[in-house]
Amino acid sequence: MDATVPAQHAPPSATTGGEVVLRTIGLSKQYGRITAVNNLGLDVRQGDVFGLLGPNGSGKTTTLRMTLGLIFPTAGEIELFGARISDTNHRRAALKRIGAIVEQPAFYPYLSGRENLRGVATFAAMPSDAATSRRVDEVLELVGLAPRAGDAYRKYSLGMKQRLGIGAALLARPDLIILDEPTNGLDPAGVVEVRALIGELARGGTTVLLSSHLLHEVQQVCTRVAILKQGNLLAQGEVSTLLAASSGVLLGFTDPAELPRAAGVLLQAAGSEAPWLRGAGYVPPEPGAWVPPGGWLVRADTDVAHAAAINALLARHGIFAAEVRRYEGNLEQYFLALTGAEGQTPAPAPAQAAMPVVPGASGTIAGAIAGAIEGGRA
Amino acid sequence: MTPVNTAPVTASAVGTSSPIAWLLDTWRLTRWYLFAAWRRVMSKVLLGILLGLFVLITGFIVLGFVVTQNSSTVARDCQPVPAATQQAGDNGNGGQVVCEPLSAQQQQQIRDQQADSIRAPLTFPGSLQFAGGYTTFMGVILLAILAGAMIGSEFGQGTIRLALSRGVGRAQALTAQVAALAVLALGIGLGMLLLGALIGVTIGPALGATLSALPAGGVGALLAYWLAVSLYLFAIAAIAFFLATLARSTAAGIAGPLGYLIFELIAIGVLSIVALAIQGDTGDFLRHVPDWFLGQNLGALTTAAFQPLAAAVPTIRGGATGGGNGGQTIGTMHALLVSLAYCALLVGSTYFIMRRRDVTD
Repeated sequence: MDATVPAQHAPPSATTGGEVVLRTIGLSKQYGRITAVNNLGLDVRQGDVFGLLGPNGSGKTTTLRMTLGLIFPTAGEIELFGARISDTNHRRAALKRIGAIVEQPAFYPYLSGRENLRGVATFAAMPSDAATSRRVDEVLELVGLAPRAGDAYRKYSLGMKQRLGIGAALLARPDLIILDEPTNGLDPAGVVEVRALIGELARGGTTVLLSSHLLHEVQQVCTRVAILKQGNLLAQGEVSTLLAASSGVLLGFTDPAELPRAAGVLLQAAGSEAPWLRGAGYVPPEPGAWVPPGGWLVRADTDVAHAAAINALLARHGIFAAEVRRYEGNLEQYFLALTGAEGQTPAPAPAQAAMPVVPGASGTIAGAIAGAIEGGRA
Repeated sequence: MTPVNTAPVTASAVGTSSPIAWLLDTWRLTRWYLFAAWRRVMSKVLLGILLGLFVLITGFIVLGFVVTQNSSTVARDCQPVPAATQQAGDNGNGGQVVCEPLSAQQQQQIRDQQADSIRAPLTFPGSLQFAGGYTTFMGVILLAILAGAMIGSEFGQGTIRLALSRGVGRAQALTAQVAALAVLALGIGLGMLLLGALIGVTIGPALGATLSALPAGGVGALLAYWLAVSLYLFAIAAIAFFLATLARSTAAGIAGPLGYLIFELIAIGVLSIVALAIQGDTGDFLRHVPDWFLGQNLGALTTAAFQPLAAAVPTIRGGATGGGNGGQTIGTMHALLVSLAYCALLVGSTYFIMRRRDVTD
């Protein structure tokens, strides 16, 4: 793609009050004994850049396929643009307002990129006129395939195939664009361009539903996210809200013995005298940052505005922090804490490493730290 | 970044609910499937094989004609001679055969008969039957291969998702595919019959044949023959369509119809043998089972459709009617109804399968 954009693209402003473009109501899909999607309720609103997150096998692609009418739900309903797609006529009309790539793009391998896009135009019921031909060329230009537009699709590299898939999704200027792992096979420059493109689409009023496990990417472009695990919806909301919930205060101590004591005090207080405290846990220090003698920091999960109250709380128990600073959560940590993350290998975040998660106490930050403290005592 | 108009525009893309709009969209899809089929290398190779073999066979017939006409020896009139008058030429079985030398006139007559027989397939309208017969054999095989590849690859390459996720209905996609196969069948049938007609009015007369006038109602008969040949092609392609969709596989789409045709051949042979051995009512029943086979009915239909034209072909004038099996004749209406029922069953079953099936990789 010939886009030139800043490497870091700010997420478009959220339009949380918009009309619901896609809604799933109690959506379930069963394959024999396996529940791929379980009672899913999603709301994607107009103007959202909505991230659908989840480890492999969490039901993301199954949900997208049901949305596109490729597979049928076992139970539940899907509403697109305000009407249920179980009505065939509405589904057909609604799907013409959607551009999508699901998993790897599928095209006719012996046809050229341009011919394939003309085929997509036919499928999307775009008129066979000069305007459509111009639109095809415009999209080829946009995704950087114009010089190779006449080459057979089978001769394209993986990245070029992905670009053509994105082009096909954009072709009919849809109201809703569904992108399933759109940066697969793209080089770093291509990833940045896709990110910029998504932002531009959102600013133009297009709603984007992005499925990915590249959490860093999602955090940068999405306004709202839903997190799935094993077909269940674990969380849904605005990225800023979710990140606020996972931000906190970092405390460093000069005496390593104070680390478990501080964590224990914070955890006890979370349930009583400090209800604003969601939990606490050990965090390894950032590379290059000050390293307390204990080697780890204690994280208090709360709004940074409570930093002084935390300090006072610890002081009442005779514990004095040598350092107090703000801790910015990121989507990856939130995701890992929420999904348990065992066996998962999401893309590394630039800053913090994940908090240790103790088997048996997975899924909650408090559980994780409780396990860690038990381990420390042993 | 290149300035791009990303504003959603949907008015032109939605609103295909009227039946006419649906039909127009379906016709556009049909044209797309035909375009995609034509752009396959396989299509050109198969067309090359179809035409090349036809030209080759025509060439062999011409060669056979030339060789026969230039041959100096003509079969002699040999007849058994009563024992009392035996003089020479013991036939090795105790009796004797005497071959009388033929007169020049008789030799010429035999040569003319041979010439008529050899050049009949190259002379209009016998050339139509030659082209039609070739098409219902080689054309059927090649179209089955193309149809299997066309439909099977929609699933194998995942391109069916491309259509369905853009709002193309399942029934609409299937209708377009069926229509594409029908157009291909009609096109191949027409093309081959035109080729046959061209050969019939050029090569036959060049070899000394006299063109016969079409019998009364000949144009209607030509049309009926074209439709019968096309139905033959379409029905076998419909097997490919059904099996490729059922198995979501190109291999099944190609192997299925060919396997079915082979199955019919074997089944007819086995049933005839068993019917002969059993005799009685059961034997009679078994002998008539092939009357319900698709290939048998299609064959009977094409043969019956050619009958009005056969009167103009010297060598088959008053010849056999019906495709039949083991000397049995299948009625034209029976053949037509059974053939159409098979087509309806195959297409209907395919729609039924696709109606609620999940489309996955």
